[in-house]
Amino acid sequence: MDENKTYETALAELESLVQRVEDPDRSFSSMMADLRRGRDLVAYCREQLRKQEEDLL
Amino acid sequence: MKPVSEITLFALCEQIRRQLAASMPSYVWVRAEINGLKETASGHCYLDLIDKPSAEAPLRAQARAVIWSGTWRLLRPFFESVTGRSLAVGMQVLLRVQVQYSELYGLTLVVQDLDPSCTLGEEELLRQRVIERLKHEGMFEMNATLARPRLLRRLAVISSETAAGYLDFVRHLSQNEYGYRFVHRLYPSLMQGAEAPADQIRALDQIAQEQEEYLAAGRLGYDAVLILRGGGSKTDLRCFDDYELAAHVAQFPLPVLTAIGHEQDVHIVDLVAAVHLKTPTALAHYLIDLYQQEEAMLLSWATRLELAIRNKLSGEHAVLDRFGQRLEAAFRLRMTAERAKLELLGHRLEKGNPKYLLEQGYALALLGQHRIRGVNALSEGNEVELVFADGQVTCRILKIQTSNSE
Repeated sequence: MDENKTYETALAELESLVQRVEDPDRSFSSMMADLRRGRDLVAYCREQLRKQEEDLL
Repeated sequence: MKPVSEITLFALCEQIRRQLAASMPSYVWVRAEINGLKETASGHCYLDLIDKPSAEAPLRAQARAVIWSGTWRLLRPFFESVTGRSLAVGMQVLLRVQVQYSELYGLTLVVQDLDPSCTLGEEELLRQRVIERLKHEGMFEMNATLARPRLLRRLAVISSETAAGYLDFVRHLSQNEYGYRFVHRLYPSLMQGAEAPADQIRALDQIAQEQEEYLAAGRLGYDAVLILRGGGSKTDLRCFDDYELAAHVAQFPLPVLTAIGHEQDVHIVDLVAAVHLKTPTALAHYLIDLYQQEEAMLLSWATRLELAIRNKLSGEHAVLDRFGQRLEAAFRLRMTAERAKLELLGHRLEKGNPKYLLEQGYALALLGQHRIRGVNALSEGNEVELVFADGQVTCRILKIQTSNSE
């Protein structure tokens, strides 16, 4: 994951990716790549949130 | 001309004394102004009383009065505690007197009692006049409307370095439990007596001058001026009703905070000051409280900030969770669909396998190694292999009959 990606950019990418994955006409093999990318994005966003929470403490 | 009769001076005076004693009540309340006052070593107090309807009007009566030491010992502390003043020249007084006449000393009013409320009223009238004048001149609210820093840290203190109130103030300020640090500098001044107003005005002028120099040099200067005085009798505090001092305080370019005494009274200097507290200790607490309030406010902002961020974060968590779930769900759905598709294909594949047909009771006919697709490929006498699910047989063609359905 690109470390310079902002939370908002990552979230926007995740959103459009989820919409793409939900499209039944999408090819299955590209869907596998989307799933991996989507999981990475979720993990990255969670990490960004966690970092912000640590700053709160 | 020879008089008809004559009497001695003594006889005349004796007659006056008798007439007076017979016609005067035993006492009478008299309102008068003190024009002269003398206390003797033996403790008697002699007064010259006058009656002047107004300051400009001519004198219209005068008389001597005396307060004998025994009476004076009782009246004096009472009068001073109520009015906050000693008897003085120029003061309006209400006296209960007995009129005495002596052949030798003439008329004397012997004072039996003093009503301090008359004097008090006079004092209050003077105070009200000073207040009215300050209001009329537009000065009364002046100092209170000056912009005040939220925190008062650099303080110019007008007080007496030996005053208990000043020492209390310094102790409370420097030993505050929160560790706030203040900078204060004493401008020693007289805090009582007739010279006090002029001396405090001199201190104010000095502070104003130094403040100008600080600001010109680009330094911060003072945040406020404090006038401190602890305790003391009421008499001592009259200088704080002085017009000149009040006018200087009112017009001073820095906020002035006063703490003049333990008394309940409010002085004119208190009224024109930006802030007034009863005691120097209370003033120290006030200054510390300003810091505490500021700190509490900052803390509440910090809490609100943190809360807002926490809310935002938990909202983001929810959004992320939904996206994650949608992603996984879409994937599972697709996987299920793909699997079903695959199974269907597998099934179709299986149905096309000849083994399946053989098990259904069909047989496969081979000529040599080739599947026989019709009778045209055969001749009578040919050897044909029939493959069943569980084995095969070799057959010979005995007769060929073509279907004539076409």
